[in-house]
Amino acid sequence: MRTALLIFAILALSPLSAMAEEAVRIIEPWARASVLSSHPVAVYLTIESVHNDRLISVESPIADRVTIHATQSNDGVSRMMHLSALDLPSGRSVVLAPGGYTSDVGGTD
Amino acid sequence: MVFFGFTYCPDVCPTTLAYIATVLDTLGDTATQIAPLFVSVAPDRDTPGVMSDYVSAFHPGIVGLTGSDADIAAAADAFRVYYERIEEDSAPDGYLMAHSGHIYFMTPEGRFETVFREAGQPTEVMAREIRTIMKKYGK
Repeated sequence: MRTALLIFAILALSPLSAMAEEAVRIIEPWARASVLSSHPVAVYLTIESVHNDRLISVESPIADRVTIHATQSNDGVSRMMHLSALDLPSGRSVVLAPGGYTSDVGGTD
Repeated sequence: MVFFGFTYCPDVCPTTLAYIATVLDTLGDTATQIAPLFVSVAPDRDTPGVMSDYVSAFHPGIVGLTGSDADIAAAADAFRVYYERIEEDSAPDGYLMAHSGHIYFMTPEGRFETVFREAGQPTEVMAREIRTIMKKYGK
């Protein structure tokens, strides 16, 4: 089940980026329907930036907090690491997908 | 079918549960002969009620199991499942669990048959392998 979700990506260079048309593009954002509103839900999307940029925060009007994690799997054990920022290299797609980078939305009551 | 996780897991567990739900749907009637068990590694928050609400959202056939810390440790030990609490300020209640993501496929007698990973094969391939195994046992 995939639902479109409204989120705002806050970028380190946002005032500059905002001047250029589509300097940063968010492509195909989706999330699984939340099961219990008290539980966090991962949001998946692809980010493309024209310039070298950095995602420093994510906000949503429907959530108390949105955090960025990287899931790392070693010997079959999955661990989530909190990231304070995500680099967006110029012209390259940064993919947030199951089992990799995720943006996690919590407190959606 | 046995796998471990926790309901506050935003990524790996829902991905695995959705994957297993698709495998069960692909198996159709054959799935009624399988007991898919999701065992919590965070039993303090994953009460029987929470587990039931959580797993039933993915598939009506999946059973959620929880218990005391000692019960969970014994179950995880029996399946050689590793899990560990990780303090993480950004997570609800300030912690996350690291855990093994294997999907164990056991015989009705409780003997190990094989193991799958969610990322290891498409759902239809896992369903096909399960059919082959069940045919071997005359199911």
